[in-house]
Amino acid sequence: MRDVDTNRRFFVKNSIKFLPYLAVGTFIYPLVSYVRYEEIQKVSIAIPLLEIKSNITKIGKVLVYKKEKEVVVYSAHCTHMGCILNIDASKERFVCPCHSSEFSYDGVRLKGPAKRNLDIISSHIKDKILYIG
Amino acid sequence: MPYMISWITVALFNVSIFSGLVVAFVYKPSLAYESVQKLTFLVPYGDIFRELHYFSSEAFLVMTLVHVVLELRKKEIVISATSWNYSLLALGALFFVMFTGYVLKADLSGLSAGEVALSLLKQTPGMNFFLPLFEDTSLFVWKFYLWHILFLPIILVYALLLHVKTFRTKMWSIGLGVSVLCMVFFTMPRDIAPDMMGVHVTGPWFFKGAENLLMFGIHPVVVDVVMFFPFALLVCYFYKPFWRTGIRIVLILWSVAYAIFSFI
Repeated sequence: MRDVDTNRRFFVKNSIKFLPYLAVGTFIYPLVSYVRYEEIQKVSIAIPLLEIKSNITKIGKVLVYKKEKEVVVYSAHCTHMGCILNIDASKERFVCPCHSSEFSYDGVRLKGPAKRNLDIISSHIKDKILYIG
Repeated sequence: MPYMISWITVALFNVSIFSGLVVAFVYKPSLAYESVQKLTFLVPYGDIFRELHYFSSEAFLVMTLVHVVLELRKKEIVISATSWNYSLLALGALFFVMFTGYVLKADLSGLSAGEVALSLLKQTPGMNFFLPLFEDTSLFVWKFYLWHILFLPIILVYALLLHVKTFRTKMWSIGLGVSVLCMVFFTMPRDIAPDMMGVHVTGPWFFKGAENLLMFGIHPVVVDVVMFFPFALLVCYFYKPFWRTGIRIVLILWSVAYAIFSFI
């Protein structure tokens, strides 16, 4: 049998040679996902109106404001840096937990670094069910 | 002394990697917050491994910054251009991996930090090209998870190997000891449930300055420039020997200003 001239140092050295390929390989997945990326995913959510008990409800990343005769749905993302807004019932405001922007229940920007009012998401009511999106 | 600090830093990196491997067995991106809570409160010794991973990583970052400062104090750079460039790549990857780890805990502060990062990318012209590398509309933490456990560690290990040549260190026990001491003397920030109301959240400590700049209404592009500025200076530091004194002064001024903004 032929003697193979190998040792630990030789093994490690040769293993390291493959690392650049592996490093390049790490960018393949993001590249593929970039090509296949769809920015807007339209998802419709249906919520029975009976389940919305208070006049302000946070459902995932949307805020539902039940006025007397209509329902308005806002994106819960702050218009400044996108943090998910909290509901401050005592002040009747939406408050950003990150940078303290504040919005009224009507979605109007009141204070903080946010420059825009809240984004309204299209919604409609049919057979006592609220359809969002 | 600088020699010892370098090797303790490498030891801390080893501790971080091995404790991270244990944590990764329990972590599930589809149930991110729940799995972190399970690890912390239900899995035997899970909290110890989580804290070990947290503190060894934090100590690794702090020691890396100390190492950078000590090297910049020297009159001459003793490493090659390749080693210098890879060390900068490793430094960038380190900040990045720390940040993705912060997002992965998936509590309110982690998720908010992720949202802010995505928003920064969206609002910076040219940077929004990178958005699909991080944004996942179906599972928020998924791509942060891939970066944290796969892409960044590979980049970090590769860049560090070219910089330090070997991960073998005789200071294993010191690295482990420093992590355990941190566990004893410091408290890990508590997780905030994602649906918790009426709380103020912040990002990781090293981005607090940038976060406060955003709070003051500074444009995201300016904040990006502020964050990448020291890296640009460190690139110039090697290739422009005559600028070194000036760069040192600017780096000190930047650090002081950033620290002030962090504590406001």
